[in-house]
Amino acid sequence: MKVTPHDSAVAHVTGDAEYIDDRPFVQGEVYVDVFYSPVSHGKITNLDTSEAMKVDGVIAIYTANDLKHNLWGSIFHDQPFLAEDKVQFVGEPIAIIASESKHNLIEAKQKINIEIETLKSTYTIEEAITTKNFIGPQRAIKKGEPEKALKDCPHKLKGVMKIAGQDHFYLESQASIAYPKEDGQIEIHASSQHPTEVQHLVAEALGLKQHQVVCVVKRMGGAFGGKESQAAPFSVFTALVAHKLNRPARLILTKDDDMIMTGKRNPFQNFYEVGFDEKGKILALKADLYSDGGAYADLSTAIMERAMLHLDNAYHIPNFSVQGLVCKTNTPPNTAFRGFGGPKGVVTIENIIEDIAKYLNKDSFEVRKINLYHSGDTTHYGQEIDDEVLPELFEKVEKSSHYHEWRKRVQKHNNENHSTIRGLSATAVKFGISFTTRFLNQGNALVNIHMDGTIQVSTGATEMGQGVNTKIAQIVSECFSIPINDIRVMPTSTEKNPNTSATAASSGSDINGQAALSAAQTLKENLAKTAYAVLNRPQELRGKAVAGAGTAPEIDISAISDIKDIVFKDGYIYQESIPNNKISFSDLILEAYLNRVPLTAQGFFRYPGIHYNKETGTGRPFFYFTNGVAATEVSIDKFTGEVKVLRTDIFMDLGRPINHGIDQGQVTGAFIQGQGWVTTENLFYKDGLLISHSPSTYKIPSIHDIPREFNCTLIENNLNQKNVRASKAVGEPPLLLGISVWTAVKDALHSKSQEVIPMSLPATQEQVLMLLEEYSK
Amino acid sequence: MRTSVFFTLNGKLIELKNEDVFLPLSDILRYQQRKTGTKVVCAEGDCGACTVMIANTINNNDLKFKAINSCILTGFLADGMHIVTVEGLNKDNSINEVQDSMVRNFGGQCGFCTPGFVMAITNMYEQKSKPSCQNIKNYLTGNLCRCTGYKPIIEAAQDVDENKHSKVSELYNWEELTKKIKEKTSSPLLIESQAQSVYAPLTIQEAVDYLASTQNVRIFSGATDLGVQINKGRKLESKKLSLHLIKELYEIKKENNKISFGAKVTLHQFQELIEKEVPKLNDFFHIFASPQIKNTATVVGNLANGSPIADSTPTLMSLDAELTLMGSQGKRVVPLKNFYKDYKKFDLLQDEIIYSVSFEIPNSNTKLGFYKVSQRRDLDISCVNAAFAFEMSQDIITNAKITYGGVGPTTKRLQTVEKSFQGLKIQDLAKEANIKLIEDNIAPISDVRGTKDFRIVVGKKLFEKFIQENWP
Repeated sequence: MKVTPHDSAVAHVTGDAEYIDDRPFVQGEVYVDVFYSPVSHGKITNLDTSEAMKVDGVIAIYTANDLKHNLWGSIFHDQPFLAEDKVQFVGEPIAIIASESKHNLIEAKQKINIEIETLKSTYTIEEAITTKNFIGPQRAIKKGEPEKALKDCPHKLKGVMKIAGQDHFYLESQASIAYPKEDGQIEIHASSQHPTEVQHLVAEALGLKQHQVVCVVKRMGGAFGGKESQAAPFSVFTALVAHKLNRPARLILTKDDDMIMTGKRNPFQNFYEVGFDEKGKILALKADLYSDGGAYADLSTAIMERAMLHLDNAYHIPNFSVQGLVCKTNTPPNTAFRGFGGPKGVVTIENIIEDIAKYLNKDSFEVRKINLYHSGDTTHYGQEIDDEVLPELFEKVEKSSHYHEWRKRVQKHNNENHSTIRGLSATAVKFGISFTTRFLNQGNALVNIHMDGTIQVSTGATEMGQGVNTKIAQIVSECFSIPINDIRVMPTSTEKNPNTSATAASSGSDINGQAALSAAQTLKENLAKTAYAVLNRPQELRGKAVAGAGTAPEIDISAISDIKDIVFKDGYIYQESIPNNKISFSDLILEAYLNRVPLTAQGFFRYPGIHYNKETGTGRPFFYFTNGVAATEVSIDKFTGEVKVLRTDIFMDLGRPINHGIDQGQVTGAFIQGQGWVTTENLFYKDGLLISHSPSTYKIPSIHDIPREFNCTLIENNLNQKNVRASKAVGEPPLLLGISVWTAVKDALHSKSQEVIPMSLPATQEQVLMLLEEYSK
Repeated sequence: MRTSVFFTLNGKLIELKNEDVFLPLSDILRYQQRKTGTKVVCAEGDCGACTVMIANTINNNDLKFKAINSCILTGFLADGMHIVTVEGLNKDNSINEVQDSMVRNFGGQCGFCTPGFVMAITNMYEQKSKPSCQNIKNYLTGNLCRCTGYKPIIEAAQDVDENKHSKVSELYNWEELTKKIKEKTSSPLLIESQAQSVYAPLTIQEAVDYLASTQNVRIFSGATDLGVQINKGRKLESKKLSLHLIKELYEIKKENNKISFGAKVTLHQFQELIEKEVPKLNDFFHIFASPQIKNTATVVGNLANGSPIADSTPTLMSLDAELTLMGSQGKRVVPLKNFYKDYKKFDLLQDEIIYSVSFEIPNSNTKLGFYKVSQRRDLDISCVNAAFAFEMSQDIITNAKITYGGVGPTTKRLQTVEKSFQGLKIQDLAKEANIKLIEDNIAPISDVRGTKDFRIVVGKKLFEKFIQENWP
């Protein structure tokens, strides 16, 4: 197989790849920092910046009064950029400092005198439920007759699934540089998944028109959803300084400040009651989901919707009712994180199945299998399932991984006396692809062909490591059949691609790849006509020979209709019937230019046929589903509770991958990120302040934590013809397979217990050891 | 007296002066030398994005290139070093074999950690040929990646064709550069800027004399923790004493059964020293800190930091290690177990520094167990750690040495427990009353790394683990 590396791979390994803080300093550039609230809830009674202004190098300090408009929010406009009279979380921005020196910023922040009258804080979902402190409306989805069905069920289980948050821990912290331009214009370079939102919010906050602001995103050093909505305020801050001082302004958060100030994956508490038969077939499920939205709405209501839409995961449940509410607490506003609400819905049902298996004394694998969706089934929100591959994926695990022998080995180990206990579990993912808000599912692209036959492509997709630019380059290169090195995907810029959606919901390559393809196809059609005309002309009449002389008639492509015979192959264009008479792509481009054929085109794409009514909880929100299964074996140290992942086998359905290497990397990377969420990543707060705000206390997986044996197979699926090049989106879905580590831990604990064990997420070493103490008698 | 720091960067001599010598090396590289391939993420030596290769010319015997974290290396500590950044790996504008392997194996996604991984893999091939998968993981412990799940990086590290790879030690004319930098760094260093000063004498006597005559001095040796404190905006003493030019502090001695090593001996060198002598201790050091930290941080620094969760302290305490302290009036010896008076309070006078550490290699009748419990197994600060050394005569415990960390303000030997175990038959050790003794003698608190209850439970369990592992 021909390997196409990431388009920045060489720049990555040499260190040439430019991130925000790698941009050279320009004359007059100032450093920007954010002074934020030290308390989680209170009234600002006094803010005195005079001492801070005296610090050497400090030029200006700005507060809410300096903004023309101070409310933002991706869904509800409820959050101030800079707190005015009250603060609602530790880390809430209050003042912006501009300084000539980076090193005096800390001192300046310390010298800002703030007095805050502390108000009572809400820190947990429980407290918010008690005080009815909610954000947005309650949503509900219902199918069948869950109440009645529950009553009739032979077996029932009731419980609550407690799920903690997760920090994105993108390596490049939030970063932005703003350059002032003439006529009050601003050019922002940001580490953002959503340049359009940055552009719009900067314009609004500064009282500019949108055409006065350009936002450029070259690449991000990781994002994972953390730069979908939450990158924007930091760009507003640099833009404010640049605008006020008429000097370039740079803001690079430290990892500590980034982790303290920014929102996380929403914690959830999901209350459920499930009814099932003696085989483990789920007959009815009733659930109330509560998420911790933090202090402001951000994307939490949409995240809740996705959690509700994914509570079924891969399993067909005939009677189903789910309600969801977002709680307001005094913690940083929680936000998008790879999987959005999906993982919180999915881990809940996977946990339920693990418990059903324990209750019925069955292998959870069997319980999952009998509950799987099949083509023709309908989800709780009414979308019919087609081209279902989940049963095939389970069969792969069963056969290729020799699941049953595997289970026997685990049982044998646990029956002998070892200092470790083992657990095995396989979980699935069926992830809906599309934004659940219909209008977001659109994108545009610009393809420019230059006269030497090389191409620049610009789309609204932002590159955060996921390889979207590489895939787009591949799509365009294949369209024209020219070398990939002749295609360059340019930095994302709002002046080339306006009104875009965030690169999110795993849809980046789908939407932007298809938009780029559509632009390329427009050009290709014209070029094919041009080629037809050129190839049927004698050499001496070709544009190259008569350029500028006006001695040959111009080619009129509008008069050409029959071009079916024209092929683009390996850099040449010819009529299939006359392969010897050919023209190189670069020569054709020159001919096209000389004959005034357009060499630039825009493309547009929208996912067709999707709709979802949030109020009734019905519709067809997803264009298609990305599916996968992972089986994981863990080992727990009886003495310390330490969890080791011994082996994971992943089988993933990505349709026909555009770039196998990139997709493999997305799968393994997402899995390990999911594993971190369910095991070691522990957010520890004290009075609303995140104490674990750096990698010395917040533990993402290290290279030693990955499964000792880590197998990842992309199955061949040619059924999915809906999407660009028959591929499927990959970004988020495999994260949810990390849940298999959590269920495997539970399986291990269950093997030593007489009863169903309530375990929360993450399964930290501490929780595991304490549960083992309590339940293994 | 010298008033400039000298190092070489990718084969070029660099001079640092004034306030600049107090900046982290990564800032100097990124913002003064425009070597922006070196990234900073955590600024505390926990992620490896800032990894560079160095060789230290001060300690003659060790002109070997190794990886370090540039973000927590204070500028003046680069004095006398050869430094190679990712930009210095390929001299002729083509990528090297490690880089090429990372490209063809999809080793980078967002790319922010990638230069650090390239340096860490380069470091591995500097020290090791044909690495196993476990070797690779050990060499890459200090590098975090949030995108790849590490699998493609491991594949890239395995796929390096060593015949095509050129080592850092072969990249430049090091002999000539070493000669050049040795000339520049042969005299003591004294830099006084507006706000702070650093003094680096050539002898230990000058160092302790300076301490005797000067108030509020902070000693810099490996300074991997001080580097973090500087980055996090904590104010340190403005006067700094650096030990890096004092050659005798780099010394390692092994006589009969006794090992002793100086204050500048790194964790890595210590590990090499004990690899064959005390294999269990070596295993323990594998999960303790990253290669980058181990190549910079010193054992003495770990002891002198006084953290109750320092990982070398319990091990050396259970091995009955002794500290030699040097003051302006001479040397004295203090057993490590008596060194800690309270949280970060020591039996150490103002003019004294820890000169060296010594301990006897345990004999074959001694059963050992070294443990740490942390949220993540590798490269994590301990929640609780423990070290056991039981001298045995057949199945009778003749001398029990039990040390715990993370269960009180200092690391401590549980001497009451030790006494009651003396003369005990091993078969009786696992009795509940004995295990309860551990609980009665530790007093942990709850914090970010674990609750009090967990620490008590796991404290007892570590003792049970020690019994199970040695007498299964």
